[in-house]
Amino acid sequence: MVYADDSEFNEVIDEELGNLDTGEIDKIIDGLDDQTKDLFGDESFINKIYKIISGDLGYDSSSIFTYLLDLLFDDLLSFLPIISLIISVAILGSMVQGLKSKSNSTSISSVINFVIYGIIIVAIFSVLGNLISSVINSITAIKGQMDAVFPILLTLLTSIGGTVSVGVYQPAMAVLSTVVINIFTTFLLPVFIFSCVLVIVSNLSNSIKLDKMVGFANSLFKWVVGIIFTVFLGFASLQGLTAGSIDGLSIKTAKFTFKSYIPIVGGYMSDGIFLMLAGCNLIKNAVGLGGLLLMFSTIIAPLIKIIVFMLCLRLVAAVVEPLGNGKLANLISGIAKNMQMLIAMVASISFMYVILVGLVMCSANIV
Amino acid sequence: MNSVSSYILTIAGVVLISVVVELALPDGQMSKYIKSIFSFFIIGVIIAPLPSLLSSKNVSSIFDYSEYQIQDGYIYSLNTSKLNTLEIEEEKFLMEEGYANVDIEITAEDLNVAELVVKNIYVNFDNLIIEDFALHKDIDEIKIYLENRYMDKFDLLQGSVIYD
Repeated sequence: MVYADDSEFNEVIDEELGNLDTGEIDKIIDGLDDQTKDLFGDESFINKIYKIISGDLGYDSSSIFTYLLDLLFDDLLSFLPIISLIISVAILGSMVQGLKSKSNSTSISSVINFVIYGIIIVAIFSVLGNLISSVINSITAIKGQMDAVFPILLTLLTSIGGTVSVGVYQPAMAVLSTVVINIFTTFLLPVFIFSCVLVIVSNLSNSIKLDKMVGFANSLFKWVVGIIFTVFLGFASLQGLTAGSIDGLSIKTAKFTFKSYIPIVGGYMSDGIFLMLAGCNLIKNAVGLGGLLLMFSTIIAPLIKIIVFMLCLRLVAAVVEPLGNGKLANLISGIAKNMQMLIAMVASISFMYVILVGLVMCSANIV
Repeated sequence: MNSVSSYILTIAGVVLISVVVELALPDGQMSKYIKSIFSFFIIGVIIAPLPSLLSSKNVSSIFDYSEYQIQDGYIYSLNTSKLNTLEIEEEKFLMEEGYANVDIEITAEDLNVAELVVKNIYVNFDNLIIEDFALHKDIDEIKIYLENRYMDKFDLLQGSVIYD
């Protein structure tokens, strides 16, 4: 259903984009570091939207792949000192254990163990602290992006007549960006730290065992994330799909009937106005996609860093295990296992964001 | 967040002290009892702050949220350009019907909401040129024709079409 040539449509889109207030997103893009900005590919959000509308995402799979590989090897190099430190301390420890005289055995060997533990824990936590703060930063960054992108999406959804959808998504977006993120930062992050501390503590001495407490923290984390996921996405997607199809139907009806009461122009849809609505719809989808691209470029670096560190820790645990110090291997692999929680936090928030934006992009499509 | 981190630090601290004490203790009869005393301590430290951590005040603040506001300016300017488009389309339509140079201005009830309801239509015949092929030649006939057309098209009330 195209009544106009390209230039007329481009004019409509130019005008509509000119009216859109994207100052918040531009501020966020200004504040990004150079690497992320390169990956996002543009200095201003409006330019990115123009590119997306014209069908040029500015990415090809090989450039993404080389970028990911670069990140991977950078992270590997930066973790190499820690890995070698841990392995060498563990080897040294086992050599000292073997060399020490047999007479005063137990107390000396536990002191040696304690010192080795101290060194390794300090080494791991110096990295883990950075990773935790980078996770907090990326969650805050995602929240900031949501605060900037969601009002624009809602405005565009309203402008194409998606009133029922707006009624569903307006609270859902607010819940995601405040309640869900609050639960993640004020509850699940402490649970992660709690579980890490317990892993360390329970491997410190033979007499105090807190393994079950670690298990409790882990399963608490899993259940809370699972419940948030199911409830939030279940409600948003079921309600959103219904509302979106109702809106789509009422807009489609408006194209064929004249006097029914629909939210376009007093029950009247002309070719010119249809063109404007199609433009708004296109911009809505492009803004959604642009927001998601921005989110991906922000979280990809910290996410890969965490994954690489986790794999490194697992490797170290595997290397240390044959040295005969089972507790040390348990400690390192326990922390590596806990790091899945960090990954889960960033990944699940961004996944919910993707689904919500995808639902908005799908709803009230008029063409 | 602060109370949680202090909770975690307390647990770590108590366990650390107990481990150090364990290292320093001589292997005697007493060491067994001291170890069990420390494990009681650790249980206490883990359990004691739980009620205050899970208090309703902490929990309810998580669930406060305020909804996002729609950019009114965008809806306003979109509605203005919708009306402009309608005006241009109508003028073009009338030109094709044989009534050239009619000036039409459409106003709406509220430009800040997405549901645009047409309020008045001002029609200016000052520069009207009636072509030969036009259906109605008399200006009153044209007025009646337009009024019927708009009342039907935009669901307007009697008297909403105003002629300058």
